[in-house]
This record gives sequence, C-alpha cells and structure tokens, in this order.
Amino acid sequence: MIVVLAVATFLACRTTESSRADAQSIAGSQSTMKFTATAGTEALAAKLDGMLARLQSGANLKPTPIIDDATFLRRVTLDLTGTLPEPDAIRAFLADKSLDKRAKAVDALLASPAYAQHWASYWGDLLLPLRAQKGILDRGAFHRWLLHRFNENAGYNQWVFDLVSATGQNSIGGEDALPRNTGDIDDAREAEAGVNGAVNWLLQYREAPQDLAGNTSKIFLGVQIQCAQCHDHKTEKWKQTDFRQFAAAFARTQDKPMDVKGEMKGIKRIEVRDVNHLVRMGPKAPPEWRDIAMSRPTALDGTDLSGSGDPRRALASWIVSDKNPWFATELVNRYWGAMTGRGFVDPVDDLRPSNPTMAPEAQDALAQDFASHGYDLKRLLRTICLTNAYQRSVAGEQPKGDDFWARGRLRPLSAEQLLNSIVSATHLEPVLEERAGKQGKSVNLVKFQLQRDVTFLFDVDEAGGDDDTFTGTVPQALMLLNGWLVNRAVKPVPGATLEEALAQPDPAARVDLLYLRTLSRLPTPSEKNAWQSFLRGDVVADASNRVGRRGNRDAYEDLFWALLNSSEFQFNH
Amino acid sequence: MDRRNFLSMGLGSLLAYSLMPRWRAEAAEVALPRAAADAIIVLWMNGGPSHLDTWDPKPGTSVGGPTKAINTKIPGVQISANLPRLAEHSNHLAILRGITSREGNHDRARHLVHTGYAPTPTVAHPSLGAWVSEELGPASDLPAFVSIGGPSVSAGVLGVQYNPFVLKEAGKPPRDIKLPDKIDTDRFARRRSALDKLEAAFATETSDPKVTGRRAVYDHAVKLMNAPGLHAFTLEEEPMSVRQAYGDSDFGRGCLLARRLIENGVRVVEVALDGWDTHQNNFERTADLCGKLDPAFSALLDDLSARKRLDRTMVICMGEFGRSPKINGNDGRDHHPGAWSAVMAGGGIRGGVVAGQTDAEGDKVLGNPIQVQDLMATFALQLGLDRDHQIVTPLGRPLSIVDAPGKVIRDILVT
Repeated sequence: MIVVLAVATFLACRTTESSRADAQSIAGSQSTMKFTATAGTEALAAKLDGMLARLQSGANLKPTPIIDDATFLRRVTLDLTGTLPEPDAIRAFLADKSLDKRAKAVDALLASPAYAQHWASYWGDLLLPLRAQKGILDRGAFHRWLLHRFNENAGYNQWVFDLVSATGQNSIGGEDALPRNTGDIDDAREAEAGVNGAVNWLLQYREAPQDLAGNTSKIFLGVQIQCAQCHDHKTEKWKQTDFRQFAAAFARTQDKPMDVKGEMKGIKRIEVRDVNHLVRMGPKAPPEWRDIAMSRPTALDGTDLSGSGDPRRALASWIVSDKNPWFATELVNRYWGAMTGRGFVDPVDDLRPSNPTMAPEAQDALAQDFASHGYDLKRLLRTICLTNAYQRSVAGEQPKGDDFWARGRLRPLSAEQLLNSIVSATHLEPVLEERAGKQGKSVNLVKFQLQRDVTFLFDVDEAGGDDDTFTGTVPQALMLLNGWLVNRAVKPVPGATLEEALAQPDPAARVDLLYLRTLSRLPTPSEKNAWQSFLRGDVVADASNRVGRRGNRDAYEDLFWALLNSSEFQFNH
Repeated sequence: MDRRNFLSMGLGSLLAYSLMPRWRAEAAEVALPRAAADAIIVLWMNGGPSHLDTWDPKPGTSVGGPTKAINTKIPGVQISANLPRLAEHSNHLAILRGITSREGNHDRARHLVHTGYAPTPTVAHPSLGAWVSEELGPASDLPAFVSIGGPSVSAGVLGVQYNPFVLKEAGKPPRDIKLPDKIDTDRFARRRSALDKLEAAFATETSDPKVTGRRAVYDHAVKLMNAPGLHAFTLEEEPMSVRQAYGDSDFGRGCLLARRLIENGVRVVEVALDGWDTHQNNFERTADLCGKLDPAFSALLDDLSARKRLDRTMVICMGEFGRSPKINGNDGRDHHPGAWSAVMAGGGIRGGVVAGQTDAEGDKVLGNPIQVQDLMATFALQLGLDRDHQIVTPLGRPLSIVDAPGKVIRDILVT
C-alpha cells in the first residue's frame, strides 16, 4: 500500500466530481472515454460457473449457498470501490424487486468515481510499492496518471503500453510535489509543465535497472524471468540469456536530472527518455549490467525487438499484443484472485508450467473474452461479479484441499479499504476537523498523517499467499482497540454517526443504523434481543443524576466500538 | 528461584534440545564454543559510517583527514580519537576491519546487511530479528523483536507476525498501549464482552481459522497491555547516574531501553543512530555522531557486564557500508562498500581482537575479506539458530538464515 497514492485518494474524495471533470477534459485530448460492452457477460459468467461446477463435483464438493442481497452489496462495493455501501443504498437495494438488480448495482459501482480511485490505488500499490526510494519519485503524479486511465476506462493494453514505453518528466518538482502537499496540485499545472506521471514507475528502478525488467515480466506477464537473473532456472525453461535479452530492451532508457544538484528542495525533476546508445556503461558499471546491455533485445517468445531502434517501445508493443500468450492470461488471473481471494494460479503472478492453473478452461475463456473486447477491465470485473463463484457464501465447513471456488473466502481489508470503511462508517469528517483545530493543523495534514499511520500499520501483506491464517499484528490490534481514530470516531460528535444513531426514535432503530453503517446489514432478531439487555444494563449500572442518559449513550458507543473492531467489519466476506 | 532465572533456565534447555542437529553438523567441522547468546542488540549506524574515522583510522595519510587515532587496550591497535571511552572498553570488543560487500545504494545495502542477502525481486528476505523471532520466540509477553528509532527491515516471507515492533523513540510507552482517556478497565471489559459476542457468532458462522487467528492477535495485544514487563519501556525507574552515563541523546536512551527490554524477555533490539551519510562535512559530523555512540555503547557494555548479562547478550555495531578514502570537494566521504568495519561484543564473542585488515588507504581488504553472510553465520551460531532450518518462499524456493557460503568468523569466538 502506498501512502501517498492512498492519500491522494483520501484527499480527493471530497472533490471527486470536479477533479473527474478535469481528468476527462485532459484525457480527452489523448483518448476518449471508453464505454463497456456488457453484452455476453451474463452468458460468459454462466459458462464459467458450468466449468467450475464440473471441477467441484469431480472433487465431491457441495457449493455453499449464494449470498443474500446485503452481503452481496457489501462484498461488491468493497471489491469495486474500496469502501462500504451507504445505509440508504442498502435499504434501496433490499427493497428493489427487480431480477437484475445485482447486475445493475455492479454497473452503478463501475460507473462511480470511487471505482477509479480504488483501482488506481490497487495498481499504485502494486507498481510503486512503499519501499521504493523517495526523493525523485512523485507518487502523487503517478497516482493521478493512473486515476485518469481508470476514469476514462482505458484499455488495459493501452495503458500498459503507455506505461512501459513512457517518456517525459516525472514531476513539477519542488516542495509542492511532496506527498503531504500533493492534495492541492491540479492537473492543468502538471500538463503545462509536461509531466508524465507514468515515468515515476520507471524511475524507481534507477539504481537497479535489471529489477525493472524482472518486475515488468512478473507483473504484466506472470513470468518470473528474474529467477534466471543469476543463473539458468533449475526447473523451468528460462535461461540466463533469456533474462538478459529481455532486460536489454531497457538499456537505452536514460534518466536525466533537470535540476542543478542540491538546488531543488522536495521532489527532484528528472526526464526519462530513450537514446540511441547504451546507457550506464561507464567504468563503474557492474559486469551484470554490461552483459545485459550487450545482449540483443528479445521478447520471451523469441521475437526480435532490436529492429526499430527503440527496443523499449518494441517491448511494450510485444507485451500488449494479441500474440503474447501471457498478457491477458496473467491479468484475468490477477483480477480473479483479487476478487475471489485466490487466483486460478496461485501466487497470481507465477504462471510457470510447474505451477499449473486450477481451472484451465475457465481461465482461458475469461482471457479470450478479455482480449477480444478491447482489454476492457470493467467488462472483466462485471463478468466476475456475475458468477456464482463470486457470490458464494463464506459460511460452512472448511473443505480439505482445493475448493474450486465452491465457497467464498474471507479476505482481510486492505489498508485503503479499512480506512475508507472506518471513514464511511463513522462520518469521520467532523472528528478530523476537531482534531485539526486542537493541533493547529490543516484538515488535509491530519488526513495525510492518518493515512500514513494506517498504511504503515496495515500494509503488511508481503508474505501473502497463505490461505488459512490471519497474519495481523499486535500494533494493528492496539491501534484499533486504543487508538484515537476508532475511539474518537465512536463518540457522539455532532455530524458523526453516533449522533445520527442516537437521534433515531427508538433503541431498535438505533441499533439498525449502527449495523447498517458498520456491517452493511440489519441485525437479526436474536441480535436485537441480545443488545437490548446490553444497552439497558448500562443505564442501570450508571444510574445517578443525568447519568442515566449518559450511561445509555456510553453503551451505544461501546456497541459501536465493538462493531468497528469486529471481524465481520474487518474482513470482506 | 525468581521469575527471570526460571525463564532463562527454561530457555536454555529448550535451546539445547532444538539445536542438536546444527551442533552436530558444526562439530564435525571443528569444535566450536557454546556460549550461545539468548539475545542480541544491534546498534544500527544508519547512512554508512566512515570506517576511517571510527574503527579503522589511517592517521597521517592523505586519506586520513584530520581524524586522530588513540591507543586501545589491544596491543598495537588504534581506533579513532572520536571514541575514547570505547577505546577503554576494547577488551570487550571484536573489531572487524575486513568486511566487504557490493551494494553501494542505501536501500539495497540496508537490506543486505539486515538480511544477509542482496535484494532481489523474487523474494522478500526476512531480517535477522525476524528469524530470531521465528525460531526462538519471545521469552515473555513482550514482543520478541523491537526496533527503536528506525524502521529496521521486515520479516518478509516469514510473515508479519515476526515483524519488528517499532518504537519511534525511546522513553515513551508503545503507541496505543494504554486505554484511551475516560475508558477504565471496567468499561474496556464491557466493550470486549460486546466484541466477544460478535466474534463468537462470526466464528461459528464462517468456521474460518482466520477469525480465530484474528482473535488470537487481539488477545496478544491485550496481554501486552497488561504485561508485567511493560514498565521496561519507561526509563524513569533508572537512577539519574545511569541515564546520564548513556548520554543525553535519543540513541543513548535507546541503548538504555535496549538493556531494559533484553532483561524483560525481548530477544532482539535494534537501536538506530541516523546521520552517517556524510557526503558533506564528514569530519565534524562523524565526530558529533561518535559523541553519541561512544558513551551509549560504553555504558551499555558496563551495564550488561555489571548485571552479568553480557556473556548472553550479543552486541553488534554496524551500518550499511563504509565511506570512501577519497575526501570529496565538500569535505565529505562518499559510499564505499568495498571495505568497512563493524564491532561485536558479548554473547560469546572474544573481546580485545581485531579481525581482518584494510590496505594503507582503507580502500581494499587485505587477505580474506569478511562477507555479510559471514556475519549472519556468526550471529546464527552464537544465538543458537539452526542455519540448516529452511523455509519455502511463495515461489517454491528454499531459504535459510545464512546464505550457503556464509562462514563463521572463528577468530572472534570465545574458545
């Protein structure tokens, strides 16, 4: 999870409409907003379910039921937009009697600005991880570049080509571009300066250009070619020569500082461009880099990339071409994994033959549809959301061995989803203003620090992959139990959720609202009963003076606190 | 028998049991000491300290600059005059002067020296502290691995449960360890009772081990809130004379805290001293940093020694690389991974020795260089970690704490 990308998301949430309009007017000069062709997605979803059903019955698995409407709306809202549905939206969805209401909900979410924010954050985390070096990287500019791509629904092939072949300036430079300040940068200013935020992705590999090749292959192709960086791969077909020839496509890409050393504070401006000679070949060049640079640029299927004189552009074309057997296959695997908790191939970026897919037919069908419909990510997500596999309940016995998506998977919320959900559940804005006033800071700065803290604590999925264990940490738990965020947010601050709940006419309506805001569902009758005594008991315990009412408020606060700390809140389920 | 002795006894027998295979393997090679340490303190000199102005001075040469050298208790061995107290403590120190590596970028070198592996995109290597957490676990309700004043390096593929517990600065209790204002223990208990109801229902509904796993993490957090050793995090209990001995700096307080944490069951404490990236004004800045390091490290050795804890606590002082013999135009020194120094003490390390040497300019290592993986092999042996213990990374590759060619630095071990 990237602090700054997520911050940009967070800071932008108030001005989404206006920034979206800007985004479109700027994007409009390059490409036009793409509309998703939804025809055939229902049929494809059904086809995928048929394929998976055969695998499930072959393994003697009985699928869990399809989730109810409230659970579906929560799951799909978190997955497509990274936050929770509002109570009004939940009530309306529950009341809607139309048969295609789930598809309609998916379409509405895909059309919302939050979709672009969420997926720009997802790709930002993946492409520019937090550990990447600071100082020259303008994470805000990179996030805005991604945001435009998702706002205009650029084809995946288009934006990956633009990214891999990106040239230009990284940032407007200076202290304005520092993470905490990037909330205020507008697109026009970057456009005027000729900034291409995409180059920040290339710049992170300035000190280790061979890693650029390895990550390009891993992220976009699912081929761990970097395993052959040091020696021929022991079990796969990749040779060291393959790695070097692939990496050689980046050997003419230069990063040229634009500012006199030491003069520019904040982010340093750098121009990325391709030149007609090999770069980094000075006397200090490590032998490994020389071997790479001197290799003939070649794609993984043997395609020669040296002809055009711009091997990086040739590589970008090859990566996104229909002939590339990995490009679409890897992406549908990644998205299937992101949406269901497990890729057809696991880990999602490791497509080697000795790590076979669990559902080859389904993966192929999805990849074919994706490639033949303009690499439209929204179409792909719509298809996935409409499958039974996506809509299965997490309830029931844990099967031993592979479950072939006969069962939903609990997925811990990402740092971004968690913070968005807490903000949504508590109506945090007044609390943030209160804190900003107390500390004499701007609200934006308080938000930035909050985002940074949450990201620091919750961006911890480096290990990944493990299905059955929850790998949370003690500092995370402490923050949620005792930290100011949850503990201030549950208080009856004017404008925040608890005030709204306490203003409801009766205890049942209050509990309903707290449940809708946190768990995105209404409480069951037995839950209502159980809380009645919890809430009433409190009044008695604190009875004296006006404390009767106060104690009652405390009890609601305690229930709200418990809901926010609950697993049902903190997992997508 | 008091609680601490009980704990350490339990630990000793546990180690003896779990480490049999490793000892046998080593024994076949050559008889080795068994002064296994049960804790390690890493003094992390962030930025890459100049070896020429600390442990490996070259006075009177063109590369030496104004830094003077002083005698130590080791015959014929001098260190920088910036470290007078440590010169007095050199009977405890093993000075490693012949270390070499190939990583000259801060991030990459920091990764290498913390994990023993050069960074690759294929695998997130765990740091030393994470391996210790995984193999030995905590010896109390406090975390096994605490990092003070720096981010350290994470547990990578071992999993976040072995990540360092990070304190921004010493002297304050950990973040969010106390109940918030106006929430007393009764109220907290009531809140938790509500939470337990929700958790029990959800665990039953899903029967998913992730829910019970999450509850276990919460239980750990509450245990830490109530841990008897929690007082170790605050320094007010220490006599003023002790606090003064460590020096009035964040680093000094960090070292004092490190000792208190080790005494209360923490296995690994990393204390960072930042600012060694002296491209400009090297000599003044290095002298200033040494002014913090010298009293803190010395007091730590005295304290551990007086408390009979030094032979079971390994202390290592190192950064990510050395600095160039060539003095640049800004009176600074640039990155120099080719030859650098580190210092070890305690935990079965022989004091009063120097291992390895550099050429007259401190530019290259003469004779057999010490590699970073040799440091890891030495830490692993002294801490009783099994270097043959392998985990499998998500990409299906085996990984162990010491990269295969790593060799124990035998000359510095107590025999």
